Amino acid sequence: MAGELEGRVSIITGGGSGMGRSTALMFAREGAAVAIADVNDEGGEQTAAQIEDLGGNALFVHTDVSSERDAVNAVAETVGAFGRLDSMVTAAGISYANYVEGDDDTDPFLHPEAASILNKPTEFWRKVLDVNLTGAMLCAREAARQMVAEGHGGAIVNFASINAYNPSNLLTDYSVSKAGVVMLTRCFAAEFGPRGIRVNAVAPGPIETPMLARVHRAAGDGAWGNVPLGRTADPDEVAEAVLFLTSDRSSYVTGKTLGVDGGISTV
Amino acid sequence: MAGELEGKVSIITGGGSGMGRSTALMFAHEGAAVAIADVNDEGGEATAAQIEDTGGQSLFVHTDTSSEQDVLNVVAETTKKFGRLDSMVTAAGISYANYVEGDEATDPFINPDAATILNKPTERWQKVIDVNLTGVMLCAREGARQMVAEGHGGTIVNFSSIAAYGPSPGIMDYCVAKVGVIMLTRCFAVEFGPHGIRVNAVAPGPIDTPMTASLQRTGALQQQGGALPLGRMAQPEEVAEAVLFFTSDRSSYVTGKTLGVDGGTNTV
Repeated sequence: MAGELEGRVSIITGGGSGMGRSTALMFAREGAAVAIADVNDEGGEQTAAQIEDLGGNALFVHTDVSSERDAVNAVAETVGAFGRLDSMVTAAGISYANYVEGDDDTDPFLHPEAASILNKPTEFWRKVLDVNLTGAMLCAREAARQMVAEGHGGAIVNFASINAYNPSNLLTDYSVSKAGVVMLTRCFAAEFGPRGIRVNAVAPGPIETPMLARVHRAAGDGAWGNVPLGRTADPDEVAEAVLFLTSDRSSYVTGKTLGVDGGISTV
Repeated sequence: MAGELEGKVSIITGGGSGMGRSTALMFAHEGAAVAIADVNDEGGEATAAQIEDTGGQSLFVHTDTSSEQDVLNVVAETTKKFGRLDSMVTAAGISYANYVEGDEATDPFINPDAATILNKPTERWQKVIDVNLTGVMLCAREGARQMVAEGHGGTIVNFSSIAAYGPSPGIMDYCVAKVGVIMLTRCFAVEFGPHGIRVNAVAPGPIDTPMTASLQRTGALQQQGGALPLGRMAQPEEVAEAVLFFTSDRSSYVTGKTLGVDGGTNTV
C-alpha cells in the first residue's frame, strides 16, 4: 500500500507525539513530505528526524496553533521547503490548560475537585478553546487559503474526540471545543467543497497515549469496560483513518466525523 | 494495493448491480473469495463471471434477503464452497416496492401522486421495510452467527443512505428503513463487539447507479440532495472504497459507525 501519498505535501500539527506523530510517520511511509508543526520542540524535532532516518522528507516548524502568526508561518515554511501544500492534519490539542507533564499536582485526574468548571479560572477554559478550536480553525483556514491560491484541491482532517458527543465532568472545556470541531468540519466542508478541498475529522476514543496512561492510573484498568471491542487502541489505528480521509480513497467523503473508538456509543 | 483481503471470504448482497457489484469486484481484486447474493439472477451471474474471468473466486447464490430461508442458504452455500466467512456486506436494497426497471408508469418520480404514503397500499411499505431493514438484519445476524461459530472475528458493512437523514416525499418507507439501518448498525456493534466482529455502515449520497437513473432524468436529485459541496454525483467505486476500508484491518478500531459518502450533503 506504500506510495498512496506520493508527491503530496502535508502539515501535521501536534506531530511531536501521540496520534499526530503516528500520522506523520504513516504519511511519510506513504510518500508524503511532512511538516511537523508543534509547540513541543523536542518531540517535533524527533518525529522529523525519524522520518529523515527512514529516507523521507520532513521539516519541523515550532508552532503554537493558537497563534495566527505561527499558523501562517507554518504554511509559509512548508511551502518554502516543499513547494506546495496538499493536506493539513490538525492533531494538536490539549486536555487541561494547566497540566504540566509529569506533575501530579496539576493532574486533573488526581484532583477532580480542582478540574471542575466551578473551581477553575476562566483562563483555563479560554486556553483549551484557543488551542483545540481556534487553533484548528486557523490551521485549516490557512491551509485552505494556500490550496486555493495554488489552484488545486486538497484534504483537511481535524481531530475531534468521543468527548464531542459524551460530556465529561472534568473536561467541560475540552468537550465543548471538540464538539465545535465537528461543526467546524461540516461548515468548512460546505465552504471549501466547490474548490475541491475535502474536510473531515476523526473522533478518537481511548487511544494509548500519555494522557490515557494518567486516566488508567487514576481510575484503574476498568475505566474502559464500556468499549464493545474490549480494548484501548494504538495511535496507528487512528492514523489509518486519517490516511483514509486524506487519500483519494475517500474522494466523495467530506464534512464527516468518523469515530475511531472501539464502538463506544456516540450519536 | 491488491491483496488487502487475501484469504478472506465475503458475502455481498445486492452484488448483481450498482454499488454491490463495485464492492464485489473491488473485494475480489483485493484477494477475497466473494459470494454474490442477489434476487437478480442475470446481474448476479454476470458479476460472478466477471470475477472469475479476472482470476478470482466467486459464487452466485439466488437470494431474496427478506427471506430467512434464503439468507440461511447463502451463508451455508458460501461456507461450503469457500470453507469460512469473514465479511458480510448488505448492499441489497430497493427504493420503491412497485417500480419496474425502465417502466415510467411505475416510476414514483414521474408519478409522484401515486408515490405519496396517502395513496400507496400498505404492502408496498411492508416490502421496502422487509428488504431494506429486515433483510439487513437477517443477513448481518446470520453472518455473525457463522463467524461466532467459526470462532473468529469478522466485519459487517451495511448500506444506509443520505435518505436516512433527509426526509423525502414519495420514499418515506425507504427513509425510515435506512434510518433503522443506522441504529441496527450501532446495536449490532455493541452486541457483537466482544466477539471481535465490527459492524459499520456507509450512507451513500447521489451515486451513479441504476437506482438513481430516473432521479437524474427527472431532476428530482437536485431537489432531493440539497447543497452538494463537491458539486457532482459519484461513481459506485467511491462507495466501494469506504466499504473496503470498513472491512479491512485499516479500520480495526472503528465499529458502530455510519460514514456518509455523499459529497458533503448536509447530514448529522
